[in-house]
Amino acid sequence: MIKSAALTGNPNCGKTTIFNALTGSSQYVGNWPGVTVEKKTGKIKSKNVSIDVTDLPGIYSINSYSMEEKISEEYIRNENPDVIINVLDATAIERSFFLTLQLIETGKPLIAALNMMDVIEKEGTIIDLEGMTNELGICIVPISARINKGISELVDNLSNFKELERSPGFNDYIQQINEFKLKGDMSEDKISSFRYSYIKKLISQYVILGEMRSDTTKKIDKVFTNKYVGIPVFLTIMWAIYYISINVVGEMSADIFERMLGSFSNSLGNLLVMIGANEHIISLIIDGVVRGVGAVLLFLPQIMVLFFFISILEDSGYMARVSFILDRVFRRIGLTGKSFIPMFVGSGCSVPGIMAARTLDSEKERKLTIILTPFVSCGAKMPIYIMFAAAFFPKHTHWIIMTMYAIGGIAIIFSGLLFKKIVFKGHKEIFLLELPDYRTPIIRNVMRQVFNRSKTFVTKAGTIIFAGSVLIWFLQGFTPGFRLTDLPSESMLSSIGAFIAPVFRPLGFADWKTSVAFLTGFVAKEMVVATLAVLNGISESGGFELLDSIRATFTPISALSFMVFVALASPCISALAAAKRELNSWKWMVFSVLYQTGLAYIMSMLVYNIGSLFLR
Amino acid sequence: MNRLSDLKPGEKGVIKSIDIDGAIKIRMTQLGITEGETVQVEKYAPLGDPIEISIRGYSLCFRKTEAERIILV
Repeated sequence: MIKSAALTGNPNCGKTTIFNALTGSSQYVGNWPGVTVEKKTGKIKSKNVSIDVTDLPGIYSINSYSMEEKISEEYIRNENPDVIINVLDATAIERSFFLTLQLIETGKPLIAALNMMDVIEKEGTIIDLEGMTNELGICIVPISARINKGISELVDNLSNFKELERSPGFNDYIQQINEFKLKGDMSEDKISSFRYSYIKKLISQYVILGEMRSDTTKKIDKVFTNKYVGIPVFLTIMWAIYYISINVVGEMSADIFERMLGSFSNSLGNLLVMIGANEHIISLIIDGVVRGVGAVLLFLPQIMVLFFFISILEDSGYMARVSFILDRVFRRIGLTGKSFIPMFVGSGCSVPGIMAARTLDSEKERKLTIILTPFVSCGAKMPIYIMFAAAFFPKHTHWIIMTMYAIGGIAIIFSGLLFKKIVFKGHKEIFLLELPDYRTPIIRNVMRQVFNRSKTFVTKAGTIIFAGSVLIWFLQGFTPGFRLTDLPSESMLSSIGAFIAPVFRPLGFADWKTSVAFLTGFVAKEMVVATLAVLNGISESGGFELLDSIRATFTPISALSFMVFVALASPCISALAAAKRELNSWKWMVFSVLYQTGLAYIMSMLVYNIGSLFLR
Repeated sequence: MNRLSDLKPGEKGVIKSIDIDGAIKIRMTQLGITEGETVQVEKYAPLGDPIEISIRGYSLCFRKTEAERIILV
C-alpha cells in the first residue's frame, strides 16, 4: 500500500494544479516556469486512501542546476517516497520524457501523469498510451488538471500501484546507459543526446502529431513581443493596472468606506458610552483600534483589485514574455530577464518575491536580485502612497504611485550598475527560459490568489496592526513616568520620536510623529498609516479626518520626500527574515539593509532639497 | 559557416554542433538542443536580443551570444 508520493516534472507542467486537485489545497499556481520554489505537502482526501503528497519545484533534469531544483533532486534521492508521480506536459512531450527516462534510470517506483491532454486532443494528436506503458513498464495516466479531468483515475492508479514489466528493447536502453555512466568516458551532453535519440524513436512509434496546433500564442505574441509596440504595450498594461486599481476603484470606494468607518466609529462610541464604559477604554477602542486598523482596511478594495490584475497576468503566460522583452535591459545591470519575475511578485509582497529569486541560475544573480527586489514597492506600501497622494495630489494619485515605482526602478538600475562594477566583477550570466503558451486565466485560480493575498492583508490588520495600534495609543497616552496625559507632546512616544527626529531633519520631516511612523513601518509597512492615523486623529472630533491632519503636518515636498524614503528604505522585518534565509548570511543581509536605507536617505534628501529650491 | 543567429524569423535549420562549454551546454542539451535536431527561429526580442526558437514542439529563448555558437548544417 502506497503511503507517500512526490510530484515531480518539468517547470510549468501543472504539478501544483494537480497537487491542489489531489489534496484540496490552494497553493500558488501561475503560468511561468518556476512558480513553486519550495516543497509543499498535503494529503489525498478521497475514498479510502490516505497518501501524503509532496509537491516539488519543477526540474528539467536530475542534475540540479538552480537552487529550487536542488530541493527536488535531494528529495527524490534521499527521502524515498513510496512512489514518484512524474507529471508530463503532453504539449512538450519529447522534452518531458527526458526527465522520465532519468527517473526510470534511478530505479525508483514511478507513475506517469500525462497532463494537458485536453490541449493536444484539440490539436488532433493521438498517443498510444497502452503501447507506451508496455514499452516503458510504467503506468501512464492521461489527465487534464486544469479542467479537473483524470484526477480520480490518478488516485485509483496510485492506490493500486504495482510495478510493471519493461519491454526487452527498453531494457537494452537502460543497460546501455548504465554502462555509459559506469565507464564515465562519455560526456554529460553525449548521454543527453543518447536519451533524446531514444525518445525520438519512442515518439515516432507511439505518437501521431496533430496538424491543428493552435496559433493563438503566435498571434498574441505578434503584438506583445512586437518590435515596435512590445515595450509600449508592456508600459501601457502596467499603467492601466495602477490607474484602474488605484484611481478608479479608489474614487469609488474611498468615500463610501470612509463614511462607513466614520459612522461605525461614531455608533460604536455611542454604544460604549451607553453601556457606561470607562473613558480610557473608549479612547483605546475608538482612537486606537478603530482608527489604526480602520485606516489600513480602508485600502482593501484597491489592494484587492491590484491583486486581481497581478494574478491574471501571472496566470496568463505574459510574465515569461516580459522576461524575454526586458532581458536586454536587465543585462546592463548584470542580471537577466528572469529577475523580472521575483521583482514583479515583489510588487505584491517582498517575501515571496525574495523567495522567487531561487529560480535564477547563478549565485550572483540570486544575491543581487534579493538585494534589489525590496526596491519594488510592495502592496503594503500602497496605502501610504495613496494616503499621501490623495492628501496632496488628489487628481494624480496613480501618477504619483507610478513615480514611486519609477524611483524604485531607478534605484535598481543605479545599484545594479554599481554592484556590477564593484562587487560582482567579470561574471557571465546565463539566460535560458521556456516561453509557455498563453492560457486564458482560470477565474477560480485568480480568485483563489486574490483571496489568499487579501486574507494575509486582513489578517495582518487584525493582528499586527491591531496590536501595534494599541501599543501606539498606549505610548502616546502615558508620560515616560507612566502618568496618564492628554497632551501627546508629553508622552513617552513623543520622547522616543523626538529622539530620532533630528536624523530625519535633512529629509524635511522632523516631526516626532513621522519619525515614530517610520519606526513602526519596520514591523509592517501598513503600520505607517495606522500610526499616523492614531497619532493625528487625537485632537480631531470624531469622523475620519486623517487627510486634513496630514496636510497640516507635511508640505507637498516633504510628503514626496517621505514617500521616496518609504519606497527605498529597509523593508519590513518579515522581508528581512526572508532575505537572511535566502542569502544564508547575516553579513549580506545587514549589508543589504544598510545599503537600502542609506540610498533611501540620500535620494529622499535630494528630492527634498532640490524640490524646495523649485517650490520656494 | 551557418549559425543559428544568421537565421531570420520563420527560418529553419538543422543543428550540426554546439560550440559552447560548461554548464550551459549541458543544460541546453537536456532541454533538447542536440545535434541533428531541427530548430526554427520564431523571433527576436524588441531590443534585438534575446532570440526565441522552437524546438521539439516548444518555445525556448536565450541570448544571441549562445545562438552565435550553435552551428547549423
